Amino acid sequence: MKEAIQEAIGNDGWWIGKYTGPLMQLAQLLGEPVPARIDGPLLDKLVVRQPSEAHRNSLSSRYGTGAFPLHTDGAHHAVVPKYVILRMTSERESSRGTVLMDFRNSLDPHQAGVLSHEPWIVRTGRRAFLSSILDGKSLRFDFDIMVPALPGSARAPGIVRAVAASARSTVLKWTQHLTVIIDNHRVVHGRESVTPELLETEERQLERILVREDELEI
Amino acid sequence: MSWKSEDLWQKARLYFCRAYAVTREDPLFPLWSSLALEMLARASVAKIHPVLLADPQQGENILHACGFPSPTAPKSVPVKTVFHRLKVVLPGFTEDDFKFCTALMEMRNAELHSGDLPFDKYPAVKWFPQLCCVAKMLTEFCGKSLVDLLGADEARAAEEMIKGIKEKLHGEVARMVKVSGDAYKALPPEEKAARAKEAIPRFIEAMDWKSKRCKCPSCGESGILHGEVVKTLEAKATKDGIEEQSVIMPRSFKCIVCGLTLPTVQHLLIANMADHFTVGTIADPKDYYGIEFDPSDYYEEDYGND
Repeated sequence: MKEAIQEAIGNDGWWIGKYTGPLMQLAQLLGEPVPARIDGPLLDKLVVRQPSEAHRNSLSSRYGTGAFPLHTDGAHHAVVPKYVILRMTSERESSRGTVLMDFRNSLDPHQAGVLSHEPWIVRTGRRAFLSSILDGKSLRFDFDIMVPALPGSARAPGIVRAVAASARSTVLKWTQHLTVIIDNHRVVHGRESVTPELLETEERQLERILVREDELEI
Repeated sequence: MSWKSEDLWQKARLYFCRAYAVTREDPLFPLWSSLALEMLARASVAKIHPVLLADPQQGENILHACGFPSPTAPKSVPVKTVFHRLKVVLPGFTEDDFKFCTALMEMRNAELHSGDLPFDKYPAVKWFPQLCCVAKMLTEFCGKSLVDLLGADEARAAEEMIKGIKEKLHGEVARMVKVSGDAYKALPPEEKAARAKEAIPRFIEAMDWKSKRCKCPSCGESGILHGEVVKTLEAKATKDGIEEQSVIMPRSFKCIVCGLTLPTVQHLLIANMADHFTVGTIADPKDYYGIEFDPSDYYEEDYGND
């Protein structure tokens, strides 16, 4: 199964399928599960929340029940997790899709060069550190916590906007047990919004595990 | 306070970005470049281990470097110490690089801590090419490239400058060897013989334990490679005593016969004379371990028939 998953990820940047086994077992097949938050659980349960119900420093606190912008999970980690595993646990199908965009493979060499070089400040809450959007083999992409370190001369924001407008993407519609494994070093993802009418009856719970690759680059 | 190599390297990259955001004539250009150089030097030393940046005077600094919390603000070693340590941990970082870097740091200190204006009208051609050479060496030691550090365009320009320095030195070494060689060939045979004879006692006087005899590339006679200790290997006990081997890096060459002098490591590198060599010394165990004893304490009383 690992080979099939890695082949699909190598081709598309993600693997999509139905998986009913223990999610942690799937995660351990790929590498080392890591918590999204310091001292947090390895397996998160993600539901749509109002800002008042959400963690103070989170996407939900900023965007509530609306759309989430494109991002990589764990951009605030020192080492960005390689894989994001999401699985729908709710019985009812959800109208709120997840957007998957093959960002890294959509860059031309010049764009990749700029994104590899320009420094950004990453603010995690506890500390701030410097990084570029493309960092070796990794991709760090979350503009809720990242700002250009040299705002006057930064070319990266323009490149990101241009690429996001044209890159290959797909929208995942969630049904029970549908599972996606995202190559978090290549693909960015976001959440769609729904109409107020659908919001009222929305039941959408996803399980999430972040996985660091087995071979760490130090 | 982060002493991690990656964080320091990222800071160096940011500071180079700030340097490149101004013109080469702007005094901010050498100022930001000197700050970047310090970050890069600290990143390189920290690549071995962050503890090499800790001021050893207080144990808390060492604990902080190893990831433990410190009750006081951790203190790191001065930048001159960082460059000293680079001479040990980075084989290609020479005494000349050390002198260049510390001189630039002194100018930076004068800029930041005095009313002087050392960077005013300080032409980039005097220091920037050599800084590029050092920056390339340090960033590669950190596992990155000049492109990672400076961006593609500036890295291309830096590589051209580095190439220019090497080509200039190549020409200089070739000219020095030729001039000395031609002058020696032009000498009458009696003069050559006299010089060779005089060379022997002068040779013995000039040699020390960190030097080595070496064939002169100009005249073919024997000259002296003077060096400095890079590393001392672990001492071993042998039947003759305690053997200690030291790895010596050649620093300069002088031929006593024709007078050719190659004064720096860079000159030696171009003349293919920069290979490190090993020198062994044998010490009496008593001297090596500093043992003081009177042998007579271990002797029996002299025998007599009384």
